Amino acid sequence: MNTMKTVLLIGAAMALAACSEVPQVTHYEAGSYSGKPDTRPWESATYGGDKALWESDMRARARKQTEIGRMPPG
Amino acid sequence: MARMKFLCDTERCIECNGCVTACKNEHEVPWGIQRRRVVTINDGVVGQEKSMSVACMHCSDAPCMAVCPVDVFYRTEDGVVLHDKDACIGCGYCFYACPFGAPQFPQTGTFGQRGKMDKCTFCAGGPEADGSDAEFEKYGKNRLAEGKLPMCAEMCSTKALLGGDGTALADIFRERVVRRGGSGAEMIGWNTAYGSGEQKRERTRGGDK
Repeated sequence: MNTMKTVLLIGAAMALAACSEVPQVTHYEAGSYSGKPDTRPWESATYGGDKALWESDMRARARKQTEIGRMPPG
Repeated sequence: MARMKFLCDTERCIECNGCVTACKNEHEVPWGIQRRRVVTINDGVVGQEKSMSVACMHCSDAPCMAVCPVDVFYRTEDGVVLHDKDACIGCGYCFYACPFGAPQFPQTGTFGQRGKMDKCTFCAGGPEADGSDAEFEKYGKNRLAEGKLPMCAEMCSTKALLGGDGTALADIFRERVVRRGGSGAEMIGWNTAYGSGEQKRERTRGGDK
């Protein structure tokens, strides 16, 4: 009888073993930069760390890309 | 804080390839590498031709950065996407991920195996000392550190290609939209970029419908 019970228990355990749910979706995690550190553009010899000056120069330079306002409208 | 971007005005681009030449010359880009190129659609169709200068768009959520197995990409504080060539393994994943075809690979060996990836740096160099020979050899000139904007944009003869802080570019483009007339709604979007824009209105005014 005991043998019968054992066989039934093992059989039930084996039959139900495939009923579990394994997550199918992989969760990716963003990696972190593995290369060498870089300096920022305003830390160059030209600007010596003056970020405000670099930004104002960039804005002024960008405004030179438009011709509107340079000449009176014809 | 500046957020560096490129903007190409398709109403102005005349497919002169001046930006391509300026880039290649400024950075001494080797044969076979195109950091920037001009794409034309409806080529030869009168009134329907649209050209656009394309390079790395320095995405805010860059797919190249997401797929790189060795994490060589980084975004600078001013929004430029750069990479460390010393750590690049030349796998080519970034090329498949990029919607703009920006990553380029030199064919270095006899059997054409890929070299280390090369792409537009927004003229911001790379992770080497600013202005050093090593930086120029690997990434090209670092114009941002000199207070200059990308060479391609500064060389554009019709000022179709604009480069710089996104806010400044938006201001310039807004001024153009106002001068072109209309409500402004038709000045942006698919039709303006790829058809039914300024050129069609010109054609309609000229009686060729």
